[in-house]
Amino acid sequence: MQKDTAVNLLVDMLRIYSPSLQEAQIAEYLADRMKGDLGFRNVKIGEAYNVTAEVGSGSPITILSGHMDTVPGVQPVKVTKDAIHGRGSCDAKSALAAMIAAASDLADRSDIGTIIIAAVSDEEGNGLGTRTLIDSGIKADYAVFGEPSGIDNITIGYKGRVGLALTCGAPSLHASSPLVSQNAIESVYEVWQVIKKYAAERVGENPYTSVTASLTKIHGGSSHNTTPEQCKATIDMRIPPHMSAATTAEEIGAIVARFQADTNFPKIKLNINDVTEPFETDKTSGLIRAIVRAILQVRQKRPLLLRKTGTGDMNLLGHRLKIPVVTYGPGNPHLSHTRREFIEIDEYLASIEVYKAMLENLSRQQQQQQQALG
Amino acid sequence: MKCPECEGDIDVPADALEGEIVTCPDCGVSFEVHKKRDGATELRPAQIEGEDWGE
Repeated sequence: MQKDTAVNLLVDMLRIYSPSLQEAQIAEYLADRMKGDLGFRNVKIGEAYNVTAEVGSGSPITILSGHMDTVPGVQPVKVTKDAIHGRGSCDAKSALAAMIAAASDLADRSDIGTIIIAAVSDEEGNGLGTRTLIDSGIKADYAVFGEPSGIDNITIGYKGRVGLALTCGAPSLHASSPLVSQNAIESVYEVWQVIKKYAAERVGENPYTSVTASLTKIHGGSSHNTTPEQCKATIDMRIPPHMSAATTAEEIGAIVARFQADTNFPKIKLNINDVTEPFETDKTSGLIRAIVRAILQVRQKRPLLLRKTGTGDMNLLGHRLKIPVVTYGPGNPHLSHTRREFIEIDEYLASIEVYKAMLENLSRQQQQQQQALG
Repeated sequence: MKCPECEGDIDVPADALEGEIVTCPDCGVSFEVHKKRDGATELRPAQIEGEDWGE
């Protein structure tokens, strides 16, 4: 793809403001482009406004998936000599545009297997797009999720997540009589202390191998001289790959049940609103080899394999499809969600070449395996 | 080739590039492929893993 065409594709995508669950316009734009000059087939806008499209045929089947949505907040689109600025330029429309450009460049090739572009919605929300994509029954041998890892970095693992909320109700009394009844805020805080201890007892060698628990919101109380009628707290836990998020959620449930057994009143209600399993790709997989080689070939640099303490849509793809998945894309991840997002044009264009080289390597590796098997 | 860490067998592809990463299936340690001047291949300890936050 010509440099100007690739730059214009990304700029067009940035000019469509698309915070989570408002992806209809960008989905239609991408579907029109892929049906038209970019040379894809089976272009569909599916449930949750996911856009899927294919090039090539046969195996291996590789999903290149990126998200169309951004965090909220308009940031003017500006193109300078070296960079493209705008909301989503880094996280992560540049990765999605690069994937589309790479697949489009390979559209006429009969020897690169099947490449499925999956532009998904709501990654910055609750992952509705990726969950819907998986529920649609999509099948593949490999997947790459497009997020800004940095052009020479490959993210191979993410921690899992357990999101929970604690709610406690208690009588509202005069603050001068605290012994008359339990205090809703204090009761929630006592449970939080036990959850914090649970995490502290599971500290590993480094943050990636440790359980963490963060108290992210707490609401309660209405007056300085009245005991609180209600308290609600939200807690965000991150789970390392050697543990199970589902088991952690069960153990937190048991902690709350034990607290409740010890004190009948007030009632603490636990609501577990997210259980995402951790995921790490096997470093011996063909996908790791293909993308490491691609970076060596295109960039002449040794890539860094990253493990992240966050949680991404790669967790869902890897855990549920049970295939090797990596996260890779241009851009400085520390610009994500900031008001100064930008992508260097050279890095964006280089990432297109890396995706192409990776796809060629995957296909070549499969041919070598088939030849070895006779 | 033999894993320098555990003596396990590591399959180093014949077309491996200088700098390519191979991982021992037994002990999980990763190595960098280094091509010597005489064309022979050796495995060197790889500084290839990092940690980061995000997403």
